[in-house]
Amino acid sequence: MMKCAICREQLEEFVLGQCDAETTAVVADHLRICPDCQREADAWADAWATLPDDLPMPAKLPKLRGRVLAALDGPIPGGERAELVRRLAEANAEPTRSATPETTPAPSTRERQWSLALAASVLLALGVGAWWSGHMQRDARRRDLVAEQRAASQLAERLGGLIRAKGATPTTRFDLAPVGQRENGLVHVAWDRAVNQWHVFAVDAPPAPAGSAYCFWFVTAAGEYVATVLEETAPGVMATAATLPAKPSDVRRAVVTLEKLPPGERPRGEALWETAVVGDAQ
Amino acid sequence: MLDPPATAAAATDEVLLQQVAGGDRRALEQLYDRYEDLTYAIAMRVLRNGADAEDTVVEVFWELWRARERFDARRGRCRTYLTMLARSRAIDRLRRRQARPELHGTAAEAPPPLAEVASPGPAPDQTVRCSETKAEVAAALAGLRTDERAALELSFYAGLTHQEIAQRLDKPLGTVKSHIRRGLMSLRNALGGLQEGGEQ
Ligand SMILES: [Zn+2]
Repeated sequence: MMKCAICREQLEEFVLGQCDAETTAVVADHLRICPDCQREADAWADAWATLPDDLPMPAKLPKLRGRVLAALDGPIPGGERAELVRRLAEANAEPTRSATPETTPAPSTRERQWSLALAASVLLALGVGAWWSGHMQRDARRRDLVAEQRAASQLAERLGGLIRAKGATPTTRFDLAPVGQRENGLVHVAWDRAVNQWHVFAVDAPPAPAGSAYCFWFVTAAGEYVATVLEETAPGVMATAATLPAKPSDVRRAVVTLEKLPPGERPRGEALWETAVVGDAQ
Repeated sequence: MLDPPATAAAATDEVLLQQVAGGDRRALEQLYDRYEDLTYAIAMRVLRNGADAEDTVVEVFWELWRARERFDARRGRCRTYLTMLARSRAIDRLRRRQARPELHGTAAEAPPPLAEVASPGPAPDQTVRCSETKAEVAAALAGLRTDERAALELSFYAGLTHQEIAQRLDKPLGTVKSHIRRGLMSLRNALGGLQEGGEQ
Protein backbone atom coordinates (compact mmCIF):
# COMPACT_ATOMS: atom_id res chain seq x y z
CA MET A 1 0.00 0.00 0.00
CA MET A 2 1.39 3.34 -1.02
CA LYS A 3 2.18 5.81 1.73
CA CYS A 4 0.81 9.35 1.59
CA ALA A 5 4.27 10.93 1.48
CA ILE A 6 5.26 8.90 -1.56
CA CYS A 7 1.95 9.56 -3.25
CA ARG A 8 2.33 13.29 -2.78
CA GLU A 9 5.67 13.38 -4.52
CA GLN A 10 3.92 12.24 -7.68
CA LEU A 11 0.83 14.39 -7.59
CA GLU A 12 1.95 17.40 -9.61
CA GLU A 13 2.77 15.17 -12.56
CA PHE A 14 -0.06 12.76 -11.91
CA VAL A 15 -2.76 15.38 -12.31
CA LEU A 16 -1.39 16.21 -15.75
CA GLY A 17 -1.55 12.54 -16.73
CA GLN A 18 2.21 12.42 -17.19
CA CYS A 19 3.21 9.61 -14.87
CA ASP A 20 4.04 6.22 -16.31
CA ALA A 21 1.28 3.61 -16.30
CA GLU A 22 2.43 1.87 -13.16
CA THR A 23 2.74 5.05 -11.09
CA THR A 24 -0.60 6.27 -12.44
CA ALA A 25 -2.29 3.08 -11.33
CA VAL A 26 -0.73 3.05 -7.86
CA VAL A 27 -1.46 6.73 -7.22
CA ALA A 28 -5.03 6.39 -8.50
CA ASP A 29 -5.57 3.43 -6.18
CA HIS A 30 -4.28 5.45 -3.26
CA LEU A 31 -6.46 8.46 -4.05
CA ARG A 32 -9.54 6.29 -3.97
CA ILE A 33 -8.99 5.49 -0.34
CA CYS A 34 -7.28 8.67 0.85
CA PRO A 35 -9.39 11.82 0.81
CA ASP A 36 -6.46 13.90 2.08
CA CYS A 37 -4.30 13.03 -0.89
CA GLN A 38 -7.29 13.45 -3.22
CA ARG A 39 -7.67 16.99 -1.88
CA GLU A 40 -3.96 17.53 -2.51
CA ALA A 41 -4.39 16.29 -6.06
CA ASP A 42 -7.32 18.66 -6.56
CA ALA A 43 -5.26 21.56 -5.25
CA TRP A 44 -2.40 20.82 -7.65
CA ALA A 45 -4.83 20.48 -10.53
CA ASP A 46 -6.37 23.82 -9.64
CA ALA A 47 -2.92 25.38 -9.46
CA TRP A 48 -1.99 24.07 -12.91
CA ALA A 49 -5.29 25.37 -14.21
CA THR A 50 -4.34 28.93 -13.30
CA LEU A 51 -1.51 28.93 -15.85
CA PRO A 52 -3.77 29.87 -18.77
CA ASP A 53 -5.08 32.86 -16.85
CA ASP A 54 -2.59 35.14 -18.51
CA LEU A 55 -3.12 33.89 -22.04
CA PRO A 56 -4.50 36.42 -24.49
CA MET A 57 -8.18 35.67 -24.93
CA PRO A 58 -9.69 35.55 -28.42
CA ALA A 59 -12.55 37.70 -29.56
CA LYS A 60 -15.89 35.87 -29.68
CA LEU A 61 -15.95 33.10 -32.23
CA PRO A 62 -19.56 32.92 -33.44
CA LYS A 63 -18.85 30.40 -36.17
CA LEU A 64 -17.10 28.13 -33.71
CA ARG A 65 -20.08 28.29 -31.37
CA GLY A 66 -22.32 27.05 -34.16
CA ARG A 67 -19.91 24.25 -35.00
CA VAL A 68 -19.59 23.13 -31.40
CA LEU A 69 -23.34 23.00 -30.85
CA ALA A 70 -23.99 21.28 -34.16
CA ALA A 71 -21.40 18.61 -33.36
CA LEU A 72 -22.80 17.62 -29.96
CA ASP A 73 -25.00 14.77 -31.08
CA GLY A 74 -22.87 13.68 -33.99
CA PRO A 75 -20.05 11.17 -34.25
CA ILE A 76 -16.69 11.55 -32.54
CA PRO A 77 -15.18 14.71 -34.03
CA GLY A 78 -11.93 13.98 -35.77
CA GLY A 79 -11.30 10.75 -37.61
CA GLU A 80 -8.01 10.16 -35.87
CA ARG A 81 -9.59 9.14 -32.60
CA ALA A 82 -11.64 6.65 -34.51
CA GLU A 83 -8.35 5.36 -35.83
CA LEU A 84 -7.06 5.06 -32.27
CA VAL A 85 -10.04 2.95 -31.29
CA ARG A 86 -9.54 0.72 -34.29
CA ARG A 87 -5.90 0.16 -33.46
CA LEU A 88 -6.73 -0.58 -29.84
CA ALA A 89 -9.40 -2.99 -30.97
CA GLU A 90 -6.84 -4.78 -33.08
CA ALA A 91 -4.29 -4.91 -30.34
CA ASN A 92 -6.82 -6.12 -27.85
CA ALA A 93 -8.12 -8.85 -30.09
CA GLU A 94 -4.60 -10.13 -30.60
CA PRO A 95 -3.88 -13.33 -28.68
CA THR A 96 -1.32 -12.32 -26.13
CA ARG A 97 0.30 -15.64 -25.38
CA SER A 98 2.68 -17.49 -27.60
CA ALA A 99 1.52 -21.00 -26.70
CA THR A 100 -0.76 -22.79 -29.15
CA PRO A 101 -4.51 -22.50 -28.60
CA GLU A 102 -4.82 -26.25 -28.01
CA THR A 103 -2.57 -26.31 -24.96
CA THR A 104 -3.46 -22.96 -23.46
CA PRO A 105 -6.61 -22.59 -21.40
CA ALA A 106 -8.66 -19.91 -23.09
CA PRO A 107 -9.60 -16.90 -21.03
CA SER A 108 -13.26 -16.92 -20.14
CA THR A 109 -15.67 -14.98 -22.26
CA ARG A 110 -16.23 -12.63 -19.39
CA GLU A 111 -12.57 -11.84 -19.13
CA ARG A 112 -12.37 -11.19 -22.82
CA GLN A 113 -15.42 -8.97 -22.77
CA TRP A 114 -13.98 -7.13 -19.85
CA SER A 115 -10.74 -6.44 -21.64
CA LEU A 116 -12.61 -5.38 -24.72
CA ALA A 117 -14.65 -2.86 -22.80
CA LEU A 118 -11.41 -1.57 -21.37
CA ALA A 119 -10.06 -0.93 -24.82
CA ALA A 120 -12.98 1.33 -25.51
CA SER A 121 -12.57 3.09 -22.21
CA VAL A 122 -9.06 4.05 -23.28
CA LEU A 123 -10.75 6.78 -25.23
CA LEU A 124 -11.72 8.50 -22.06
CA ALA A 125 -8.98 7.36 -19.78
CA LEU A 126 -6.05 8.33 -21.95
CA GLY A 127 -7.13 11.84 -22.49
CA VAL A 128 -9.09 13.22 -19.63
CA GLY A 129 -6.28 12.70 -17.19
CA ALA A 130 -5.95 10.49 -14.19
CA TRP A 131 -6.89 13.30 -11.86
CA TRP A 132 -10.46 13.47 -13.03
CA SER A 133 -11.08 9.80 -12.37
CA GLY A 134 -11.47 10.79 -8.74
CA HIS A 135 -14.41 12.91 -9.79
CA MET A 136 -16.39 10.32 -11.61
CA GLN A 137 -19.58 8.96 -10.15
CA ARG A 138 -19.38 5.50 -8.80
CA ASP A 139 -22.65 3.71 -8.76
CA ALA A 140 -23.20 0.00 -8.64
CA ARG A 141 -23.80 -0.33 -12.33
CA ARG A 142 -20.56 1.29 -13.37
CA ARG A 143 -17.32 -0.54 -13.57
CA ASP A 144 -14.52 0.51 -11.33
CA LEU A 145 -13.03 3.38 -13.24
CA VAL A 146 -9.70 3.28 -11.52
CA ALA A 147 -9.25 -0.35 -12.42
CA GLU A 148 -10.33 0.56 -15.94
CA GLN A 149 -7.80 3.30 -16.04
CA ARG A 150 -5.03 1.04 -14.89
CA ALA A 151 -5.84 -1.58 -17.45
CA ALA A 152 -6.34 1.07 -20.09
CA SER A 153 -2.90 2.47 -19.45
CA GLN A 154 -1.39 -0.97 -19.56
CA LEU A 155 -3.26 -1.68 -22.74
CA ALA A 156 -1.97 1.49 -24.31
CA GLU A 157 1.57 0.53 -23.37
CA ARG A 158 1.13 -2.90 -24.84
CA LEU A 159 -0.19 -1.52 -28.08
CA GLY A 160 3.15 -0.91 -29.73
CA GLY A 161 4.52 -4.33 -28.89
CA LEU A 162 1.38 -6.13 -29.92
CA ILE A 163 1.24 -4.52 -33.30
CA ARG A 164 4.87 -5.39 -33.89
CA ALA A 165 4.14 -8.98 -32.96
CA LYS A 166 1.13 -9.11 -35.25
CA GLY A 167 2.63 -11.29 -37.95
CA ALA A 168 3.26 -14.12 -35.52
CA THR A 169 -0.36 -14.81 -34.58
CA PRO A 170 -2.68 -14.69 -37.55
CA THR A 171 -6.07 -13.26 -36.76
CA THR A 172 -8.68 -12.39 -39.33
CA ARG A 173 -9.76 -8.78 -39.30
CA PHE A 174 -11.68 -6.55 -41.62
CA ASP A 175 -13.63 -3.30 -41.78
CA LEU A 176 -17.20 -2.75 -42.88
CA ALA A 177 -17.86 0.14 -45.22
CA PRO A 178 -20.75 2.52 -44.55
CA VAL A 179 -23.69 2.09 -46.91
CA GLY A 180 -25.11 5.06 -48.81
CA GLN A 181 -24.50 8.60 -47.68
CA ARG A 182 -23.07 7.81 -44.26
CA GLU A 183 -19.65 9.25 -43.65
CA ASN A 184 -16.85 8.64 -41.16
CA GLY A 185 -18.46 5.62 -39.57
CA LEU A 186 -16.27 2.64 -38.99
CA VAL A 187 -16.99 -0.91 -37.98
CA HIS A 188 -13.97 -3.04 -37.32
CA VAL A 189 -14.07 -6.78 -36.79
CA ALA A 190 -11.37 -9.07 -35.53
CA TRP A 191 -11.43 -12.80 -34.92
CA ASP A 192 -9.40 -14.06 -32.01
CA ARG A 193 -8.40 -17.52 -33.11
CA ALA A 194 -7.05 -18.50 -29.71
CA VAL A 195 -10.50 -18.38 -28.13
CA ASN A 196 -12.76 -18.57 -31.21
CA GLN A 197 -14.19 -15.19 -30.43
CA TRP A 198 -15.33 -12.28 -32.58
CA HIS A 199 -14.65 -8.72 -31.52
CA VAL A 200 -16.72 -6.01 -33.13
CA PHE A 201 -16.16 -2.30 -32.64
CA ALA A 202 -18.31 0.46 -34.10
CA VAL A 203 -17.21 4.04 -33.75
CA ASP A 204 -18.75 7.31 -34.91
CA ALA A 205 -22.25 5.89 -34.91
CA PRO A 206 -25.00 8.05 -33.41
CA PRO A 207 -26.50 6.56 -30.25
CA ALA A 208 -29.19 3.96 -30.88
CA PRO A 209 -32.71 5.15 -29.99
CA ALA A 210 -34.24 3.73 -26.80
CA GLY A 211 -35.42 0.18 -27.28
CA SER A 212 -33.13 -0.32 -30.26
CA ALA A 213 -29.55 -1.43 -30.72
CA TYR A 214 -26.99 -1.87 -33.43
CA CYS A 215 -26.78 -5.50 -34.46
CA PHE A 216 -23.87 -7.14 -36.16
CA TRP A 217 -24.83 -9.98 -38.54
CA PHE A 218 -22.86 -12.60 -40.34
CA VAL A 219 -24.30 -14.25 -43.39
CA THR A 220 -22.79 -17.72 -43.57
CA ALA A 221 -21.93 -19.74 -46.65
CA ALA A 222 -25.15 -21.68 -46.02
CA GLY A 223 -27.17 -18.44 -46.19
CA GLU A 224 -27.92 -18.39 -42.46
CA TYR A 225 -27.76 -15.31 -40.26
CA VAL A 226 -26.00 -15.12 -36.92
CA ALA A 227 -26.23 -11.94 -34.85
CA THR A 228 -24.76 -10.20 -31.87
CA VAL A 229 -25.87 -6.94 -30.29
CA LEU A 230 -23.42 -4.06 -29.86
CA GLU A 231 -23.38 -2.17 -26.59
CA GLU A 232 -22.19 1.38 -26.01
CA THR A 233 -18.96 1.07 -24.02
CA ALA A 234 -17.84 4.70 -24.27
CA PRO A 235 -19.42 7.76 -25.82
CA GLY A 236 -19.68 7.07 -29.52
CA VAL A 237 -18.14 3.63 -29.23
CA MET A 238 -20.10 0.42 -29.46
CA ALA A 239 -18.54 -2.94 -29.01
CA THR A 240 -19.08 -6.56 -28.30
CA ALA A 241 -17.09 -9.74 -27.94
CA ALA A 242 -19.05 -12.81 -28.91
CA THR A 243 -18.55 -16.48 -29.56
CA LEU A 244 -20.60 -16.97 -32.71
CA PRO A 245 -21.27 -20.24 -34.48
CA ALA A 246 -19.18 -19.06 -37.41
CA LYS A 247 -15.50 -19.16 -38.21
CA PRO A 248 -13.97 -16.89 -40.82
CA SER A 249 -14.07 -19.72 -43.33
CA ASP A 250 -17.88 -20.01 -42.88
CA VAL A 251 -18.64 -16.35 -43.36
CA ARG A 252 -19.62 -14.60 -46.60
CA ARG A 253 -20.98 -11.20 -45.59
CA ALA A 254 -21.02 -9.00 -42.53
CA VAL A 255 -23.70 -6.36 -41.98
CA VAL A 256 -24.61 -3.92 -39.24
CA THR A 257 -28.23 -2.82 -38.88
CA LEU A 258 -30.25 -0.89 -36.36
CA GLU A 259 -32.84 -3.25 -34.83
CA LYS A 260 -35.65 -2.99 -32.35
CA LEU A 261 -34.88 -5.21 -29.41
CA PRO A 262 -34.89 -8.12 -29.27
CA PRO A 263 -33.53 -8.75 -32.76
CA GLY A 264 -35.28 -11.35 -34.90
CA GLU A 265 -33.72 -14.20 -36.82
CA ARG A 266 -33.00 -11.99 -39.80
CA PRO A 267 -32.26 -8.30 -40.06
CA ARG A 268 -35.31 -6.04 -40.27
CA GLY A 269 -33.43 -2.73 -40.35
CA GLU A 270 -31.60 -1.51 -43.42
CA ALA A 271 -27.87 -2.22 -43.75
CA LEU A 272 -25.82 0.61 -42.30
CA TRP A 273 -22.38 -0.91 -42.73
CA GLU A 274 -21.58 -3.87 -44.86
CA THR A 275 -18.80 -5.89 -46.41
CA ALA A 276 -18.22 -9.11 -48.28
CA VAL A 277 -15.92 -11.48 -46.39
CA VAL A 278 -13.50 -13.59 -48.31
CA GLY A 279 -13.58 -17.00 -46.68
CA ASP A 280 -10.29 -17.55 -44.97
CA ALA A 281 -8.94 -20.80 -43.61
CA GLN A 282 -7.34 -19.15 -40.61
CA MET B 1 -32.81 37.14 -25.44
CA LEU B 2 -32.61 36.07 -21.85
CA ASP B 3 -29.56 38.11 -21.00
CA PRO B 4 -29.59 37.72 -17.23
CA PRO B 5 -27.93 40.44 -15.17
CA ALA B 6 -24.30 39.49 -14.90
CA THR B 7 -23.79 38.38 -11.33
CA ALA B 8 -26.66 37.58 -9.00
CA ALA B 9 -28.86 35.68 -11.43
CA ALA B 10 -26.07 33.75 -13.15
CA ALA B 11 -25.93 30.07 -12.24
CA THR B 12 -22.63 28.88 -10.85
CA ASP B 13 -20.50 26.57 -12.96
CA GLU B 14 -21.35 23.75 -10.63
CA VAL B 15 -25.09 24.22 -11.06
CA LEU B 16 -24.65 24.35 -14.82
CA LEU B 17 -22.51 21.23 -14.73
CA GLN B 18 -25.23 19.42 -12.80
CA GLN B 19 -27.77 20.53 -15.35
CA VAL B 20 -25.52 19.34 -18.15
CA ALA B 21 -25.21 15.99 -16.42
CA GLY B 22 -29.00 15.86 -16.46
CA GLY B 23 -29.04 16.43 -20.21
CA ASP B 24 -29.76 20.16 -20.30
CA ARG B 25 -28.38 21.52 -23.55
CA ARG B 26 -28.96 25.14 -22.65
CA ALA B 27 -26.78 24.69 -19.60
CA LEU B 28 -24.10 23.34 -21.87
CA GLU B 29 -24.48 26.39 -24.10
CA GLN B 30 -24.02 28.62 -21.08
CA LEU B 31 -20.91 26.75 -20.04
CA TYR B 32 -19.69 27.02 -23.61
CA ASP B 33 -20.19 30.77 -23.58
CA ARG B 34 -18.25 30.98 -20.35
CA TYR B 35 -15.37 28.80 -21.43
CA GLU B 36 -15.12 29.25 -25.17
CA ASP B 37 -12.34 31.78 -24.91
CA LEU B 38 -10.39 29.87 -22.26
CA THR B 39 -10.49 26.51 -24.04
CA TYR B 40 -9.67 28.14 -27.35
CA ALA B 41 -6.79 30.13 -25.85
CA ILE B 42 -5.30 26.99 -24.31
CA ALA B 43 -5.58 25.05 -27.55
CA MET B 44 -4.11 27.98 -29.45
CA ARG B 45 -1.20 28.22 -27.03
CA VAL B 46 -0.41 24.52 -27.46
CA LEU B 47 -1.06 24.24 -31.19
CA ARG B 48 -0.32 27.71 -32.65
CA ASN B 49 -2.90 27.16 -35.32
CA GLY B 50 -6.43 28.55 -35.37
CA ALA B 51 -8.03 25.68 -37.30
CA ASP B 52 -6.50 23.07 -35.00
CA ALA B 53 -7.50 25.09 -31.95
CA GLU B 54 -11.10 25.24 -33.18
CA ASP B 55 -11.15 21.50 -33.79
CA THR B 56 -9.91 21.00 -30.25
CA VAL B 57 -12.70 23.13 -28.81
CA VAL B 58 -15.29 21.15 -30.77
CA GLU B 59 -13.83 17.96 -29.35
CA VAL B 60 -13.74 19.26 -25.78
CA PHE B 61 -17.40 20.24 -25.67
CA TRP B 62 -18.45 17.14 -27.55
CA GLU B 63 -16.75 15.11 -24.88
CA LEU B 64 -18.24 17.17 -22.07
CA TRP B 65 -21.67 16.52 -23.55
CA ARG B 66 -21.30 12.88 -24.46
CA ALA B 67 -19.65 11.83 -21.21
CA ARG B 68 -21.94 13.99 -19.08
CA GLU B 69 -23.49 11.12 -17.18
CA ARG B 70 -20.10 10.09 -15.91
CA PHE B 71 -19.45 13.33 -14.08
CA ASP B 72 -20.09 13.75 -10.45
CA ALA B 73 -21.29 17.31 -10.89
CA ARG B 74 -21.62 17.79 -7.16
CA ARG B 75 -17.86 17.82 -6.95
CA GLY B 76 -17.72 20.72 -9.31
CA ARG B 77 -14.30 22.00 -10.36
CA CYS B 78 -15.65 22.78 -13.76
CA ARG B 79 -12.99 25.29 -14.67
CA THR B 80 -10.15 22.96 -13.76
CA TYR B 81 -11.79 20.10 -15.60
CA LEU B 82 -12.29 22.05 -18.83
CA THR B 83 -8.80 23.49 -18.63
CA MET B 84 -7.29 20.03 -18.22
CA LEU B 85 -9.45 18.56 -20.93
CA ALA B 86 -8.62 21.32 -23.42
CA ARG B 87 -4.93 20.98 -22.65
CA SER B 88 -5.03 17.23 -22.94
CA ARG B 89 -6.90 17.19 -26.25
CA ALA B 90 -4.64 19.90 -27.67
CA ILE B 91 -1.53 17.96 -26.67
CA ASP B 92 -2.95 14.79 -28.26
CA ARG B 93 -3.33 16.78 -31.45
CA LEU B 94 0.15 18.28 -31.11
CA ARG B 95 1.67 14.82 -30.79
CA ARG B 96 -0.16 13.56 -33.84
CA ARG B 97 1.09 16.59 -35.71
CA GLN B 98 4.64 16.03 -34.57
CA ALA B 99 4.40 12.52 -35.93
CA ARG B 100 3.92 14.21 -39.32
CA PRO B 101 6.64 16.85 -39.23
CA GLU B 102 6.32 17.63 -42.92
CA LEU B 103 2.96 19.27 -42.31
CA HIS B 104 3.81 21.60 -39.47
CA GLY B 105 6.68 22.99 -37.53
CA THR B 106 7.46 21.70 -34.06
CA ALA B 107 5.20 23.98 -32.12
CA ALA B 108 6.34 22.95 -28.68
CA GLU B 109 9.99 23.70 -29.33
CA ALA B 110 10.10 27.45 -29.23
CA PRO B 111 6.86 29.17 -28.37
CA PRO B 112 6.46 32.46 -30.21
CA PRO B 113 5.54 35.51 -28.14
CA LEU B 114 2.06 35.22 -26.70
CA ALA B 115 0.96 38.45 -28.27
CA GLU B 116 0.82 36.92 -31.71
CA VAL B 117 -1.43 34.10 -30.68
CA ALA B 118 -4.76 35.82 -30.72
CA SER B 119 -6.35 39.14 -31.16
CA PRO B 120 -7.10 40.86 -27.89
CA GLY B 121 -10.63 40.24 -26.73
CA PRO B 122 -12.76 40.63 -23.65
CA ALA B 123 -11.47 39.15 -20.42
CA PRO B 124 -12.92 35.81 -19.30
CA ASP B 125 -16.36 35.95 -17.76
CA GLN B 126 -16.41 37.31 -14.24
CA THR B 127 -18.23 34.26 -12.97
CA VAL B 128 -15.24 32.07 -13.79
CA ARG B 129 -13.11 33.38 -10.96
CA CYS B 130 -14.02 35.97 -8.40
CA SER B 131 -12.17 39.21 -8.94
CA GLU B 132 -10.01 38.99 -5.81
CA THR B 133 -8.79 35.55 -6.69
CA LYS B 134 -8.16 36.71 -10.23
CA ALA B 135 -5.98 39.54 -8.98
CA GLU B 136 -4.05 37.19 -6.70
CA VAL B 137 -3.53 34.69 -9.49
CA ALA B 138 -2.43 37.42 -11.87
CA ALA B 139 0.08 38.64 -9.34
CA ALA B 140 1.39 35.13 -8.74
CA LEU B 141 1.74 34.49 -12.45
CA ALA B 142 3.55 37.79 -12.93
CA GLY B 143 5.80 36.94 -10.00
CA LEU B 144 6.99 33.59 -11.32
CA ARG B 145 10.73 33.41 -11.86
CA THR B 146 11.85 32.86 -15.42
CA ASP B 147 13.13 29.36 -14.76
CA GLU B 148 10.00 28.42 -12.87
CA ARG B 149 7.78 29.66 -15.65
CA ALA B 150 9.83 27.90 -18.32
CA ALA B 151 9.56 24.58 -16.49
CA LEU B 152 5.84 25.01 -15.80
CA GLU B 153 5.06 25.94 -19.40
CA LEU B 154 7.04 23.08 -20.87
CA SER B 155 5.14 20.73 -18.63
CA PHE B 156 1.70 22.22 -19.16
CA TYR B 157 1.69 23.40 -22.77
CA ALA B 158 4.19 21.03 -24.34
CA GLY B 159 3.27 17.97 -22.28
CA LEU B 160 6.85 17.17 -21.35
CA THR B 161 7.67 15.03 -18.33
CA HIS B 162 10.00 16.39 -15.67
CA GLN B 163 12.72 14.20 -17.09
CA GLU B 164 12.21 15.59 -20.59
CA ILE B 165 12.22 19.13 -19.28
CA ALA B 166 15.50 18.48 -17.49
CA GLN B 167 17.00 17.32 -20.77
CA ARG B 168 15.52 20.20 -22.71
CA LEU B 169 16.74 22.83 -20.28
CA ASP B 170 19.98 20.98 -19.56
CA LYS B 171 19.35 21.11 -15.83
CA PRO B 172 19.41 18.39 -13.19
CA LEU B 173 16.09 16.63 -12.66
CA GLY B 174 15.96 17.74 -9.04
CA THR B 175 16.30 21.37 -10.05
CA VAL B 176 13.45 21.07 -12.52
CA LYS B 177 11.27 19.39 -9.93
CA SER B 178 11.91 22.12 -7.42
CA HIS B 179 11.24 24.86 -9.98
CA ILE B 180 7.94 23.28 -10.82
CA ARG B 181 6.98 22.73 -7.23
CA ARG B 182 7.93 26.25 -6.18
CA GLY B 183 6.13 27.84 -9.10
CA LEU B 184 3.02 25.75 -8.59
CA MET B 185 3.09 26.42 -4.88
CA SER B 186 2.89 30.14 -5.44
CA LEU B 187 -0.05 29.66 -7.80
CA ARG B 188 -1.67 27.42 -5.26
CA ASN B 189 -1.23 29.99 -2.54
CA ALA B 190 -2.91 32.56 -4.75
CA LEU B 191 -5.94 30.31 -4.92
CA GLY B 192 -5.86 29.65 -1.19
CA GLY B 193 -8.92 31.70 -0.31
CA LEU B 194 -10.95 30.01 -2.99
CA GLN B 195 -10.14 26.54 -1.76
CA GLU B 196 -10.80 27.27 1.88
CA GLY B 197 -14.10 29.03 1.60
CA GLY B 198 -15.41 28.91 -1.87
CA GLU B 199 -16.72 26.31 -4.15
CA GLN B 200 -18.37 23.64 -2.04
ZN1 LIG C 1 -2.75 9.64 1.26
